[in-house]
Amino acid sequence: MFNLDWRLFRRGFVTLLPLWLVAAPFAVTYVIAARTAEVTPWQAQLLSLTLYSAAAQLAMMQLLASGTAAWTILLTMVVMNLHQLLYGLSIRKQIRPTAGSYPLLAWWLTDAAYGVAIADPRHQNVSFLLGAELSIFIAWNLCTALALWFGRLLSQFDLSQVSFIAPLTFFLLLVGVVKSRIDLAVVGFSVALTLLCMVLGLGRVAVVLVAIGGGLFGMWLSGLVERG
Amino acid sequence: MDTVWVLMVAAVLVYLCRLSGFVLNIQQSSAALARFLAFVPLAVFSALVVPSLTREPELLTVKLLALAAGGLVMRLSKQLGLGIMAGLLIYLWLTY
Repeated sequence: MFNLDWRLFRRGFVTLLPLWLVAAPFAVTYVIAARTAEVTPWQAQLLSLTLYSAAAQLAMMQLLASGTAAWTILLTMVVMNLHQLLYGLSIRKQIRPTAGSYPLLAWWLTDAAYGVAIADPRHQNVSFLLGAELSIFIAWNLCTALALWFGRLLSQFDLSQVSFIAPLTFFLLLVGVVKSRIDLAVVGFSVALTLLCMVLGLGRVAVVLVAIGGGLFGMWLSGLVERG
Repeated sequence: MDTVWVLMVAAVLVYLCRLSGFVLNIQQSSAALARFLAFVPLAVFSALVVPSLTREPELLTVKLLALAAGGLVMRLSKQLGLGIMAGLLIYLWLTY
């Protein structure tokens, strides 16, 4: 399938260890929502293993609990994860994995693993990406299992503060990849577009809209600078 | 509604979203596509940070200070992990 560089694999795995702390409060929230939606513990765990998306799983539990129609739930899941199509394109371009690795890379793909692998040229490697992906996959499923077992105990603690790690990590990744005024302009445009999406109630699809809008804006601006 | 059926179909659909980018037969050598994809990470990271800053407006200043501290430590140390720790510690200290 591919040759695994264990050193890079370990580095990828370790790089995302701080995000294990974020998985815990989300897992508790997800499990509580699953109970409200009358989803059994094994169904909740199976969803973490297969669908494997904290935001989408939480949204699904809320929609199930409110009696939303199945097709609406399924459409929401697609819309919330459509931006990952762009991740696959980007990974093929930058990291060039072999076709044999696509199924596994796709199954464990998340925003964080993609972010740390793409942001640094030293990390643009299949082994690093797999290590990062596996790290978060284990964290999410372990925390789901622990929340299912010890949910009532954990819900007594206020774990909301540590969830700040997620936006903090993405901000730091952003700081790492901004290298020019064009990059800065794309960030400014993307921030404005995100705020617009939120004002218009498009929060659930903001990531895919901003990914496409920001990418197009950057493509246009860099083309303009090149020609000018 | 059979919940198990919905869960499984949802899992398959999300997996197909992730896999499609890897297997779509799009001309990779296009310079325009390369430029577009180069800016996608910037756009995505921005979209993932902004909602958390607007969620609790009373904590905006605290979050900005924590982000700035984390960014500074990361720039100086060139270590993502240290930047995360610094930013989180500042955030926890200011919200204590």
